[in-house]
Amino acid sequence: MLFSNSSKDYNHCHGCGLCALVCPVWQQHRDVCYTPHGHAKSLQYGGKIHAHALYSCFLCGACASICPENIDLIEMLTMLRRKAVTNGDQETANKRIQALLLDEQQRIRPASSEAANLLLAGKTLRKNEELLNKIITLLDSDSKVALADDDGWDITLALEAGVEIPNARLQQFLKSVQKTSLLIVSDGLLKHALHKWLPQIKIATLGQALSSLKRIRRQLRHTDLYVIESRAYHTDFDTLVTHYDELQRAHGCELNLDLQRLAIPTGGVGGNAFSHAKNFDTRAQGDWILAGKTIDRIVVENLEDGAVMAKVCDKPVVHIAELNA
Amino acid sequence: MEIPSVELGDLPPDPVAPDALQGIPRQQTNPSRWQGAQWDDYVSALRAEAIEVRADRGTRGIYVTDAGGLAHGMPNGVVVARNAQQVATVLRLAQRYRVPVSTRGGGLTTEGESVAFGGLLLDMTGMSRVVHIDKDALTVRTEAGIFWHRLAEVLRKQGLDYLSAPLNLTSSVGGTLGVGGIDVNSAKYGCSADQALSLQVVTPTGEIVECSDDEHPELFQRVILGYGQFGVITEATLKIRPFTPMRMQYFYYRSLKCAIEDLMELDRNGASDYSGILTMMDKAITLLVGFDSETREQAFMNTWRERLRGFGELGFGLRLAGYYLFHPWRIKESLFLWQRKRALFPDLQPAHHMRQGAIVDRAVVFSRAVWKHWGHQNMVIPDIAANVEKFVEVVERGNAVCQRFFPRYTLYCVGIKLRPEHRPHYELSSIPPDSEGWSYGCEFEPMLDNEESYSRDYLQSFKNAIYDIGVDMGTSYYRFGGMMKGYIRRALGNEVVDKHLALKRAADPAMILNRDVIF
Repeated sequence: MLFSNSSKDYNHCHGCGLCALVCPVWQQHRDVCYTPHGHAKSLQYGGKIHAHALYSCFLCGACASICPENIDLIEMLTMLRRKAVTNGDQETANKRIQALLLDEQQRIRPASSEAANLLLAGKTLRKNEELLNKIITLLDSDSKVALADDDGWDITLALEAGVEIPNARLQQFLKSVQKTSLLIVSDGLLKHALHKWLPQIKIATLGQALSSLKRIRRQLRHTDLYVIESRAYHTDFDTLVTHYDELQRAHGCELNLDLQRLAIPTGGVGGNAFSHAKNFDTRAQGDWILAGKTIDRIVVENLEDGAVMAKVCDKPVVHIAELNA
Repeated sequence: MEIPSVELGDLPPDPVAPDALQGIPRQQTNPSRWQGAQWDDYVSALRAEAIEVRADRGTRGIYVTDAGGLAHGMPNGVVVARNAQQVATVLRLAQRYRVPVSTRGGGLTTEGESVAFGGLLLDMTGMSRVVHIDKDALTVRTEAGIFWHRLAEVLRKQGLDYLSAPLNLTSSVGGTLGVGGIDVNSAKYGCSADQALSLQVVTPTGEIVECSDDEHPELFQRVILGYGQFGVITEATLKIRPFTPMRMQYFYYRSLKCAIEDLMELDRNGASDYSGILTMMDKAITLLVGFDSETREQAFMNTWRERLRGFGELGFGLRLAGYYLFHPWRIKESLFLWQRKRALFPDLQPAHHMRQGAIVDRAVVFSRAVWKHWGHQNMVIPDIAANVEKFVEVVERGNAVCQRFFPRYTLYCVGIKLRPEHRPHYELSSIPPDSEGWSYGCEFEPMLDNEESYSRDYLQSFKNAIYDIGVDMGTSYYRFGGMMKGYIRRALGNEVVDKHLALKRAADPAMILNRDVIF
């Protein structure tokens, strides 16, 4: 196993089906073959998992948060992807990802950061310089946060795609961040891995860090729909469910939570390495998030979520960092 | 070993007749595997109708067992249900080629009722859409493969809720209507099956029929609580209600009898909106009482609290501590109770589901707790359903059986309000024929963990010992299908079973639908 310290794997699945209940892909396909439950049971009986089902998942992590057996389902899914890549089932995607990885690795200047707190922004945020500067200013004024030059985006991609991460590259990345005391991570999959690689370091999601700032919270309204980035949220569900519950109690805003208090993903995150879009209707997902809610603004933690919500709704969509008056 | 001589004529004519099996420690009625005659022709015919049949090992393996984990069977192929026409074609052709078809929703049976021992597995969860919500009439029309959880999600968007559903939300609506469905508000609303107003059913010969108490009532009566014998439910119209958070009160008892009597008294007087008993062995017996509003809760506390014989948490804790102080050799048991309480109770009232002292989305909270604290690869939950007069004795005798078999177990008791006009629905079901007003069910569940292992025979012997009580006392069971079907004639009698068998033969000439669940 690449980064799991869980002793439980697919063999421990009892088939309760709770993961299917919260799986956005299942909700659209209504086919158990697309769920962790289906994968685990197939594996238990010697079956093969089809690559198209495996890559339809965008690793939102809701299933892992709800599994009563505490099986690390994200690890199971990424492990299965690695297997699929090794078997050549994902050859096209693999080539595309290798090219992306190469691009990213050429950009990185090896350096180890001495800053106490670091933000691992990720490529999407890096491309929006104005917003990124706002975020850095906000976080830095609160707890002296610097932007990491090496934010491990290629590693995130590799994890997501099931492509092997060269050990030298992994060590280079970990060395660059291991002296920090707080890492603020925009991508949940990377955060999930960092928890296991660097258990001694405190790691927060970007949404958590920003929504903890008083000057941001003050701007939230009871008529807002606050869209939690699901992948990051589910990496630390037990802590974050309390954080966002308090946010809602204090400010009355609507959240994209289901009955289990899991974050309903928009489907915007997780499709950056290879397309699952043909299998997943983000418009229907956006409509589902909005159903039954009376709001006049949408606040997002993540730009990809913002793009999805902007397509399905004529209300203004703002990034949480833009709430700073 | 001395083998007693058996005189000719001493053997009962029917191996599942009353008394035929009492005292025999192991009796399983696993069906033999279907041998596959005409399977290829059947699949060709389905594919000619553009129906996808999945036959790869991976897909078939998903359905190899149920929540019970004791019955294992591999279907020859799987079809994911998508609409009533497709299901009708599947059944019509199954009659022609005499291929058994097993239907499955959430797969939460425990006796292999949703396991296919060969033949076709029809996965109904592919039909999971809510068709229509009528807010004025307070009804919902839904495809029947939907999980109760998904139905609740859709209803909640409009501030609505279902009336009653199993505490395990991975049950499907269709599966539940076929067997009953018990909630902690069943003493007020009846079982989930009683909430159905009308159904779209595909008969075993492939006709699509709308039925209700007014339209094709004979079919409606047989399909409701019919264990999937008389048709596949593809759509259902259910009663719904406005959503309300639930306020809970807990009372603790040392006596099963007192707790059950208090439960029945509350139910009889409509004192609460939710009620049930959950125990840790017979040492800590918790009467759970819930309310839809603060007003109801306050009225209860003013009128009923002092009449109950149960204690509050502190009072009971002190009494329990006193008991174990004088029984130090039971220290392990006391530690178990303490640890169990510390682990379980916070999960029954997690802060993020609480608003102003009420639980929001109680069913979600309970469902997660059920899997977290009772989930195991083997779910062994024999039960007995009895009338009011017999219930205390049933539970006390069942409790003695639990003590004999397992160091740790749980009892879960709940009342079911009966609807006299639904009496025909209850024939050959979990509702005991001699019940009036309410019937009561008790589940006897050993708490299995991965460090202890019990053989399949041992677990089956336990189930038999519980079910023998039912035979002795003339009760019914919730889980009498599949591996426990040997008890059906013994508990419910030949007359009703033969009547239903004749009906089944008429409705399903090749006996293909859910074979071996009941017949």
